[in-house]
Amino acid sequence: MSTARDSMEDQIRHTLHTVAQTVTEASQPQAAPGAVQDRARGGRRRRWSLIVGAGAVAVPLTLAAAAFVRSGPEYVDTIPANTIIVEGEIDGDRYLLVETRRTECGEPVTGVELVEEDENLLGSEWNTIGEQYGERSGDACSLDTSRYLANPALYNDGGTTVGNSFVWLWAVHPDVTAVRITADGSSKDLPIYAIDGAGYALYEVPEGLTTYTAELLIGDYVVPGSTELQRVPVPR
Amino acid sequence: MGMDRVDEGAVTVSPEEAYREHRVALLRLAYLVGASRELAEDVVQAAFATAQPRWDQVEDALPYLKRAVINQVKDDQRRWYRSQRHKAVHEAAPLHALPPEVDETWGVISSLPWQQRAVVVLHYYEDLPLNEVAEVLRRPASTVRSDHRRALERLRKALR
Repeated sequence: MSTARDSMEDQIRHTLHTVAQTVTEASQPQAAPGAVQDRARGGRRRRWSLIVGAGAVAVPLTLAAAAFVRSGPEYVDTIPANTIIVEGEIDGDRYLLVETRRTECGEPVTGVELVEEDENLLGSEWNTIGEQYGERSGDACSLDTSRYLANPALYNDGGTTVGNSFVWLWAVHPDVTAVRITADGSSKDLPIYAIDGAGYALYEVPEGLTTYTAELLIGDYVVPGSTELQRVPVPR
Repeated sequence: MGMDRVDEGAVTVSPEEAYREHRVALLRLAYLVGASRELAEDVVQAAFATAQPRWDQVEDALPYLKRAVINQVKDDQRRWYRSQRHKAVHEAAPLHALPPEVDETWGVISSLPWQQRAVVVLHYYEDLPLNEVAEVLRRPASTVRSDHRRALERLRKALR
C-alpha cells in the first residue's frame, strides 16, 4: 500500500518537475524590470474589464445583462447583519450572500453580492461578484427591467469558486418561486430570496458535478423557455 | 519555512536583481498552479509590483514572491470561472508542446479543483509540508490535509 502511494507520489514529483522545466527563459517574453509595475497594473485592468457580464437564457450573448465585479475598501466585518441574506460554507470557506451597497454614478444600485470571506478579510482586496436583475440601459448608469419583467424566462446568472466547488447565482423575475436543479437523476428546488423587486437564488454546485439542468418555476409550473443545461466550468 | 515571511531583516538584493534571479522559478510555479503561459507572465509581474512598496521589509524575497504568485493565480482563477460562459471574450489558451515523458499524470493534475491542485504543487513541487501549505493558502490545516487526500484519490483513480 505505502509502496504504491510512494510510487504515485514519485510520479507526481517527476511530472511536475518535468513540466516546470518546459517553462524557460526563452519561452517567455522578457520585460524590463523597470516596467514591472506599469505592466502588472495594466494586465490587471485588462482582466477586470473582461469579466463583467452574465448569461441570460433568452438574451443574445451581449454583455448587456447586469452583473458586476466589485472591489474597494470594505471588509466582511463591516457588513450590516440585516443585509446578509444567507450564509454558507464549502470546504471550510465561508461565504455570504448580501444585499449590495454598491453605488453607480453616485446612486445606490439594486442586487446582491456574493462575498467569499477568505477573499475579503482586512488586508486583502475587496473581491466580490454580484448579480442584478435586468439589463444595462444606454447611459450605463441605470438598469432597465422592462423587458425582463415582461418575460419571466429572462434571468441573469453567474458564479464563482468557493472551496473546491462553485456557488452559482440567479437573478430572476419576481413571480418566480424556485429554481429547480436536476442532476444525476434527482431534483431540488432552490428557494428564492426577494430583494429589490426581483428574486435571487443560490446553488452550491457539488464537487465533481459536470452538468446540471436549471429551470425556473412559478408555483408548480416550469416557465417556458427557462430550461438550460449548465456545464460546470473546469480548470484549464 | 513559510513562504511570505516579512521581518526586520531586510533583503539585500534589489527588486531588479531578484527579478532577474527568480523570474523563471516564479513563472514555473504560476504555470503549475494553473496560470496559462501568458497569464503566468502577468502574475509574476504583478507579484513584483505588489512587493515593491514593502521591499525593504521582506526578509527572504523568493518565499515572499512565491506567496504573492499563489495569491495572484488564486484571484485570477476565481475571475476566470466567472467568465467561462462568455466564450467571445475568453479564447482557449493555446496548447504548447510538452516533452514526451510527460504522461497523463499532468492532465489529471491540471483537471483538479484549484485548491487541490495548489496543494499538490506546493507539496510535491515546492516540497512544503502540508502544515506550511496551509499557511501559504491561508486555509485550515485539516482542510489542506483533506484536499491532499482527495487529490491523491482522484489521481489514483484516474491513473489506475
